[in-house]
Amino acid sequence: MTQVTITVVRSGGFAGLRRQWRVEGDAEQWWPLVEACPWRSVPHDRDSRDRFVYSITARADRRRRTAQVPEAALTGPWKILVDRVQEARDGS
Amino acid sequence: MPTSHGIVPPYLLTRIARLDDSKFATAAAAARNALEHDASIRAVRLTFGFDEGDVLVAELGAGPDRSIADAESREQLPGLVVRREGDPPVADLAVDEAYDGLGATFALFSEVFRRNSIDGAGLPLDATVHYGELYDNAFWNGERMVFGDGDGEIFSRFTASLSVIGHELAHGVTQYSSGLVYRDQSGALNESVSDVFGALVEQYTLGQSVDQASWLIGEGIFTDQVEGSALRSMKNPGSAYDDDVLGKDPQPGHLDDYVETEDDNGGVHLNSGIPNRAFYLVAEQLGGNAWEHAGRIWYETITGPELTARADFAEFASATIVAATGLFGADSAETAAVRSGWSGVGVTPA
Repeated sequence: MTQVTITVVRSGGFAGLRRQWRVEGDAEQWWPLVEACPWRSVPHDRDSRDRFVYSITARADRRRRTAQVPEAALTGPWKILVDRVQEARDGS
Repeated sequence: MPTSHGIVPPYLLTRIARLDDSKFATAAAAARNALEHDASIRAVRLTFGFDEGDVLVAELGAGPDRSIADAESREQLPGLVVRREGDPPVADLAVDEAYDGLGATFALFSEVFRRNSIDGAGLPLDATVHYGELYDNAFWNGERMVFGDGDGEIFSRFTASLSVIGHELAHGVTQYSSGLVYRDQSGALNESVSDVFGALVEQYTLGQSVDQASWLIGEGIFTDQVEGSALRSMKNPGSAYDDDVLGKDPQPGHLDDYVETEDDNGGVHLNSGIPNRAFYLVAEQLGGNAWEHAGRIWYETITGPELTARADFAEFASATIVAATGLFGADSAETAAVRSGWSGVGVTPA
């Protein structure tokens, strides 16, 4: 069974505090959520100030995905993925 | 000598302009003038006083045009408008704090820097409160200020601090003036400019001199469970909190301690501590009211022609010296204080 590791780092915000969530699990369960995200076409948010920035990384075997997702773009599959990781693991 | 201030909302201005009574001829003419010749004035500030002959005089100045919306715990903007300009307070603390905070910020920019709102042309000030569930943040989205209620464990509501409200509105001022790019050093400067004017709003509203002011950003935002007084300290960056859960305030106050990171657009909320402290040092050296000297120099800097959107600390420092020289002269105490302030944080003007 292939293992997957997903890390979500939230930085920025008014307070500039960094929080991290990390989950390790079965690739069969998690990788479809990873693949549903548009890793190569994350929209920029040039207008907002003091919003959060999510640095998301997923690894399984040799497969690796990483993206910097502004809070304003954290919708659809991104939101589902981050919500699941946060639910599976409390922040540290 | 002005003795009383009041804000006249746009609808009332229109009514005054229509008055057909000789007793109010001056006010009516002034209101008509405001409406007809300066489309940017959406509301006016009415100042009453007596002239040398003991005659009651009324002066019209620019006034804010505020609207506060309630997102009702959803993450959708703008939400439902619950208080407009001129409306009486409502039974909702966050709404009224936002309304008053926008008014206080407008007053600083209008009365001290002669700037009519965010864009200098009377742009309406719109805010949304109760954004999201347990939402731990306040932000500017390019059009409006947005405030969360906090999680109740670490953060309480973000409208509780006037410096936070002033900070968000100042992001709008930067957007319409210097346009400092929100990344690395220019991003830290963008952040610092918001802290500077956020602190000045608080000081001007409370009538606090340099030595009376706390120089804290976001005082009262943390709950009692957190070991900390505020989110940032301009006077002593790195000293705002030291808590078991949150750790220690990581802000540097000197260029030697500049934080290189990919997080937070290159650490814009961390490295802002360096120009923040430079501003404090300038103000401390000059004493009195910070908005009368250091504040004017910084305002002139962000609205002047010297500053570019990608300025680094050294270029910004250089622009503040040009601004101070223009306002107070090359050999003035103010210009000397600016040079010494930057030197105190290890920044050599470009």
